[in-house]
Amino acid sequence: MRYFRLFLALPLILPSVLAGQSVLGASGLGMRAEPLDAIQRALGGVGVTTRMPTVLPGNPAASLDLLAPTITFTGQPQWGTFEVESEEGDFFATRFPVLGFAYPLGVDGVITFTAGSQFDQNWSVVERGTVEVKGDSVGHTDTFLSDGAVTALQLGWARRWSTSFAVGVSVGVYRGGLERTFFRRFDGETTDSVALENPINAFGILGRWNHAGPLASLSLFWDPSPFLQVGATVAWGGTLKVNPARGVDSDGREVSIPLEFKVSTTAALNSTLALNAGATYSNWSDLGNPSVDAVGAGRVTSYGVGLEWEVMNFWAGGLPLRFGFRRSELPFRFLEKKVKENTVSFGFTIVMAQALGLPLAAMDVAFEAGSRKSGGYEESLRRLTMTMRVGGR
Amino acid sequence: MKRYIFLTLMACAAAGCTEKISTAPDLGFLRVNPRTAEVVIPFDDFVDEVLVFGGYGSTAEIDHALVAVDYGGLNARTLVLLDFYPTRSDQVPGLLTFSDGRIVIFFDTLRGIVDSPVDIEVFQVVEEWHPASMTWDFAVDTAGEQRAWSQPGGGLTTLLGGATFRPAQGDSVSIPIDSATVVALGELIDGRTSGLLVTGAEPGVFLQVVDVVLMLTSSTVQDPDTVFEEPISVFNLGFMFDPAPAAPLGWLRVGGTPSWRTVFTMSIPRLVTGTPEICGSVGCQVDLTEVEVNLAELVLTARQTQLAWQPQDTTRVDIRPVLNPELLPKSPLGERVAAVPKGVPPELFSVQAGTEVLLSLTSLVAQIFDTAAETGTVPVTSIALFTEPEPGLIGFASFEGPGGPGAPVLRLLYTVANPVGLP
Repeated sequence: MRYFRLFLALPLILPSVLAGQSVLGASGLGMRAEPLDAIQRALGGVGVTTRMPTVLPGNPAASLDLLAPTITFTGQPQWGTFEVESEEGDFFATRFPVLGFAYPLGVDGVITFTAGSQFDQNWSVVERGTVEVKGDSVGHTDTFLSDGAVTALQLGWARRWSTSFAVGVSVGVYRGGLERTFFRRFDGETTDSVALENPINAFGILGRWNHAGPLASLSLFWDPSPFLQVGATVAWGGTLKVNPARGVDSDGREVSIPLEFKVSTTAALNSTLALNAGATYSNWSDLGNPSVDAVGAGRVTSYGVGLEWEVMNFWAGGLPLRFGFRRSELPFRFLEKKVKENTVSFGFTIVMAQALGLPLAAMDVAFEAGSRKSGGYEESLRRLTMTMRVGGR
Repeated sequence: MKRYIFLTLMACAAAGCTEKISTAPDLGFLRVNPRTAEVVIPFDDFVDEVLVFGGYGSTAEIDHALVAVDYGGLNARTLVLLDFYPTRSDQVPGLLTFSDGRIVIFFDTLRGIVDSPVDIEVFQVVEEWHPASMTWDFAVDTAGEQRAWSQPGGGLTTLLGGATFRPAQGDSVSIPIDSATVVALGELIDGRTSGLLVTGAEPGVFLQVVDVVLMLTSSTVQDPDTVFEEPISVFNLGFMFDPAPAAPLGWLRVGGTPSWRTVFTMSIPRLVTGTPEICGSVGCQVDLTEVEVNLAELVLTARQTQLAWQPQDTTRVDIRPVLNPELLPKSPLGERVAAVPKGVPPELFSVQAGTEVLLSLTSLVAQIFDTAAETGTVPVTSIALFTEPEPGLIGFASFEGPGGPGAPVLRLLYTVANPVGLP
C-alpha cells in the first residue's frame, strides 16, 4: 500500500519536472521524448521486449515476470552542443522519463501504473537587436521561452495465456502544460556606452495551454522457444486537445495522434549473450490541424539493435554489460527538414537484491552519445539514463 | 559502501534538475514579430495647459540661510533668534557670570560665491518676527496677521560688530563683542530675547550661512578664576531677500524658496502616426492603448536662470499627479511617478543652458493607457513638477515654455507584437 500512495503522488509532479533541452522541441507538439528506461536505452531498444522484467509505460506485458510489487524510477540528465549557421551553444537538462509501478496478480498476471514522457517543449531562443531612441542606438535582448511537456498516465494489465504467449493492454490520458513567453529587455545604455537617463521597461507577452487526451495500447508477446522472445505493441493516441489556460486569450487546437507500431525481439545467443533488435513506425501526417500538419514529418521509422553480455557476477547478481545503436526519426520537422537522431550506447545493471534468479532491487545505467540533425541544424548529444528498480512486499 | 555509491549516483542525477535549457539564435520560426518604435508628441498635441505656481514653503524650512548684497540685484539677510542666557553650565559647576564674547558665523564654502575676503556685519534685531512667514518687507505675514518691519530688511537694528571672512582660512568668521553688548543681548524685550541679523558689507556678496553661534566668555561666582566659553543656543535660522523673483512669463520654473511648481494638464493622444517599420509603406495610425509603452519621457529644455537664482546644487525634480486640479495651487498630490526624483545639475541653468532634461513618466503613461483601454477614453491628467525636498534650494530650475524651439515634448517608446501562439 505504501508503494501505491507514493506512486499516486509522483505523477502529480511529473509535468513540472519533465524538462527538455533542445530547440528541436519548437516544432509541432514538441520533441518526442520516448519513455524508455536505462535497459532499453543501453540496448537501442524500442520499449517492447526485454530479458529482465521491468516496468515500461504502455507495455504492461514487460512486467509479467516480476516477482513482487515493483517501483521504477528513471532519471535522465543529458547535455550537448548545437550548431546552426555560424552560431554555437550548449544545453543541459535532466528529465524523468519513466515512473512505474507494477503489482503481480499471481504468477500469470500483472497490473501496472505508469507515467511516461511523450513530448518535450522546453527551449528558448535569444536574439540581440537595437532600436533608435533619441537618435541613439540602444541594444535589446529578445528572449522567447517555451516551458512545457506532455506526459502519458497509463493503467495497464497483462496476462500470460500460455507459457509462450502473453497479452497486455493499457489505457490512459495525456496530461501536460505549455507556457510560451516572449520578452524584450532593453539595455541601460546606448551602444556607445552612454547610460540612459531613464530605464526602458521590458516588453512581455505570454500564452499558456493545457494538454489532455486519451491513449491506449495493446501488447503481444510470443516466446517461440526458450531462447527467443518476440513482441509487438500498437499504441493509439486519440485526439490530443491543446486548450488555452483559463484567463489567457489564446487559440487552442486538436491534434490527432497517429497509431504507433513497435516490434522487437530478444534472442539468447548463448547462456551469457543476448541480442535485442526492434523497430517502430508511425505516420505523422493528416494530424487534424493545418499548423501541425505543416511540420509533420510523415512516415517516421526508428530502429535499434543491441547486445547484452552477462560477463560476471557482482554484488547480489549478474553484471550484464550492454551495447547498442539506435537510429530514430522525430515526428516533427525542424527548419522544414526531417530530424534524425543517431546514438550509440553502453550500459550495465547492478543487482542489489534478487530472488529465484530475478532481481528485486537493481540499478540500470545507460550512456548514449550521438547527434541530431535537421538541415543546417546539428546537435551533439550525450545522455545518461539511470533506472532504479525496487521490489518487495 | 556500495549502497553509498549508488545513493550518490542517484543524488547526482537529481542534482541535474538545475537546467540550462537550449538557447539558440533566432531561426526564423517565431511569428511574434516584435517591433519597437519611437514617437515624439509636440507640446500642443499633448498639453492642454501649463501653469506655474509659487509660494510653497518658506525660508525657515531649509537648513541654511543666505547673505547677499546686490548679487545680480539680489539682497539677502540672515536672521536668527537667541535663546535665554543660561545661569549654570555643564562645563563648570556654579552660578554663571559673563564678560565679553564673540559671534561666530559658519558658511557653506562649497556653495556660494566665496573666492575672496568678504566683510560681514552683525546687527541686533529688537522687533519681533514670525520665522515661518517673515519676508523682506513683513515681520509677520500670515493669513491672520500682517505686520511690516518698521524698516524693510529687519526693522531698526543696532550694529554689534563686523569682521572679514577669509574663505582661504576656514569656513567661519568670528566677530568679537564687548561686555556691554553681551549684557544688551541678554536683556529681554517684552519678555522675549533678541535676534541677530547677519549681512554683507559690500556688493557682490553671496554666501550661504549654515550656522550662527554666540559664545560668551564665562566664569562662575564660586570660581571666578576659571574662564571658559559658554555657547548660547540660537534657533529659527532663516533669511529674507529682496526683490522676490517675478512670476515667469512664457517659461517654466521649479524649485526655489519659497518654492515654485509647474503643473501640466495633459491629454495624450490615443492615436499616433506609426513608423514604416510598423505600418509598412502605406502608413497607419497606432492606437497606443493596444501597444505596450516601454518609455515615456517629458522632455524639457533647461533655460538660463537669472544669476541670483541659479541653483547652487543639484535640483531634485519630483513628479506627482495632481489629484484635484480644481483645488490648485493647494491640490493634494498622488504617488511619485518615477522611482526617485530626477537630479538636475546646476550647470544646466547657467553655462549648459539648452540641455534637454528627461523626466520619466513611463508608469503614469502606461496607467493612462490602461485606463483608456478599459473606458475607451484617454483621461485628462495633471502632473506637478516640484523639488524634493520642497523647498530645498534658494535657486530654482528654469525650463523653456511653449511656443519656442525648446518647448516641452513627450517622447514615447512602444512595442507591438503578434500574440504568442502555438507553434
